[in-house]
Amino acid sequence: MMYLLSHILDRSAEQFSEREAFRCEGKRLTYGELLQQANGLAHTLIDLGVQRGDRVGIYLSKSLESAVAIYGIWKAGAAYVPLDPSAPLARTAYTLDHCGIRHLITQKSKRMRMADLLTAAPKLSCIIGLPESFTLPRPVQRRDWSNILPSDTSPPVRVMEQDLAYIMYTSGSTGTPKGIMHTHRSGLNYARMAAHTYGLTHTDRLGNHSPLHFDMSTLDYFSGPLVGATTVIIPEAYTKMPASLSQLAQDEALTIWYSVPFALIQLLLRGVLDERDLRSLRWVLFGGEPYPAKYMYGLMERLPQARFSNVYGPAEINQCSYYHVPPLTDGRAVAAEVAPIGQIWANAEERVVDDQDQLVASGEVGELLVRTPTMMNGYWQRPDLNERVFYRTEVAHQTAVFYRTGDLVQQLPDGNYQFVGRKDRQIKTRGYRIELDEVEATLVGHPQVEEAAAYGVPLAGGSQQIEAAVILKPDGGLDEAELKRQVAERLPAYAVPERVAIAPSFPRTTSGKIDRRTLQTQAIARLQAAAESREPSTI
Amino acid sequence: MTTTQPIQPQESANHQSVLQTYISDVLLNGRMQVEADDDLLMGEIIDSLGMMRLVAFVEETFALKVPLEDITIQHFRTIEAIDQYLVGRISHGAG
Repeated sequence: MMYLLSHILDRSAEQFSEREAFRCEGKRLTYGELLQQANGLAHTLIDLGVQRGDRVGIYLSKSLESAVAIYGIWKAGAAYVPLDPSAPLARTAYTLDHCGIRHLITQKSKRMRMADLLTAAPKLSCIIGLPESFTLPRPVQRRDWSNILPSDTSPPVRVMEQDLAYIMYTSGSTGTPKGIMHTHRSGLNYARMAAHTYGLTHTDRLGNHSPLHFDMSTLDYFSGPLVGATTVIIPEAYTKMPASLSQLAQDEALTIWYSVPFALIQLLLRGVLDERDLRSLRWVLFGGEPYPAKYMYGLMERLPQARFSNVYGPAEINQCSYYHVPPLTDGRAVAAEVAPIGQIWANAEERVVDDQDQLVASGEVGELLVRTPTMMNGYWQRPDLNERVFYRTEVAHQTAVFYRTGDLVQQLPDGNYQFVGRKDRQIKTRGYRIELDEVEATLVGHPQVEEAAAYGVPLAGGSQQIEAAVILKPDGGLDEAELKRQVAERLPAYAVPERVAIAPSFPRTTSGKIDRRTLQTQAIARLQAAAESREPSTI
Repeated sequence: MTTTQPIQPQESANHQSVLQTYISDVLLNGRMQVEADDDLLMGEIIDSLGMMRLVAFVEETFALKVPLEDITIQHFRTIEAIDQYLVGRISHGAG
């Protein structure tokens, strides 16, 4: 019997009780221990008033507690909402309020932030994971981790597969983030299909590179436990230090790697791979943004035993296609600048359409629409957005619901799809989705800013950086540093423009719109000139 | 990037305050004042691009080359750790 995500743990604890489920910085949890702790947390949450369908926030650094929190929340019949601990206070407070979160799971190291959050988010009424001794600005229910006792009994099941399992917030074009809702059904379908596609088994050791609020983490937290594998949670510090990261990959004998290309590029360029033995790595999965071919093939040469696959799918549908990169053979020419996103996976249907939702001819560029059993339910309390992103059509006298990815693709002669760009103004930087409209809305939200334009500027090592230009209101005495500081209070660090030029006017198109393309071209030229004037890098 | 005169190695007492100023004012845009024992890698302070900029700053300011195998959590977790690393490098002859 398995129809809920929580059943993953029930079954693996039965089959693999003594095996390690999760590891983090020398600490470990076997499947048996994880089950007992998740049961204990679930009982605690129910005691504290959590109801079926409630949203429970997770505000944790990457740690073993994350795994306990996810499975414990599910066992209590609630959905988990992972919050980015490095996000600005205002953004986290917005998410807590928008999602109606009353219960939040955290840890001692977040205690300073918790005091601010309680002031900024009035609906928050219960904190789990803070010592009783720590003073908070207002009275709330609380329970420390040390008060949560492991339990052999699971609380009675109170949800069905169509109940919500998790909500992930992502950049929204109107200036506030939007919550992608997944059910137990869509999450479990994804867990199974990914485990099947990448042939995961209980002998695998997955490196959890992505933070919890990033959708890629679901492979590590759902699919790994589904097959009884060990997931090694990689603390944030390692993801910033390639030489330490490659050491960890060697010491932990990782077999499966899944991350954004940026991390793999760093590993190739700065991971001192000559001094490491990574022969245990059998499959490298990457996705979230294009992986420049020269870096991909560079790493493939260093890891000849590993398969490489491009994984594609917006968080709204988990995943819908994959492309297994052909093995390197001598003299093989690089076929394309970036790998295709591949074939649409099993049990899914795709359509490539023009602006009128009519199918384009094979080989023509169009927007990719997908329906798959791994698709979201919609955005939390945003019927306006749901109306826009779901495309409904009659198939065999029934309504088929497709998700509009906003991605422009082209089918290649061999049947694989190639990503060619975005239909809207969303960009990716290090795998993070950023709506440029949100960046502009935030800049214009400043009382002294009259108009703003934001744009992505491609960087040499793949990825891109955000830049912006603003026109100030008359008498606006704002400088760049002050504006950036204020924007950083609303946007996550990866969405704060690297540079904000204060301009007297903007280039305009004939219709009077801001000519962002010209601004972008100027920025690219400036970066190129700067790169040429710099001495050749010794790294 | 701001250009600074390389600091003389023997002024090791200066390392910490130079690093504190650079991280607080440049990398963090003045959002917070970092202390010598703050964990720079915890998520809230410096991201991976910021770390690359910090290493470049250290190389330029202290006129030494930091080899890739030295860019590790052990040496860069806190300002104190970077200072200790610099002191170690300088006493063994930087360059």
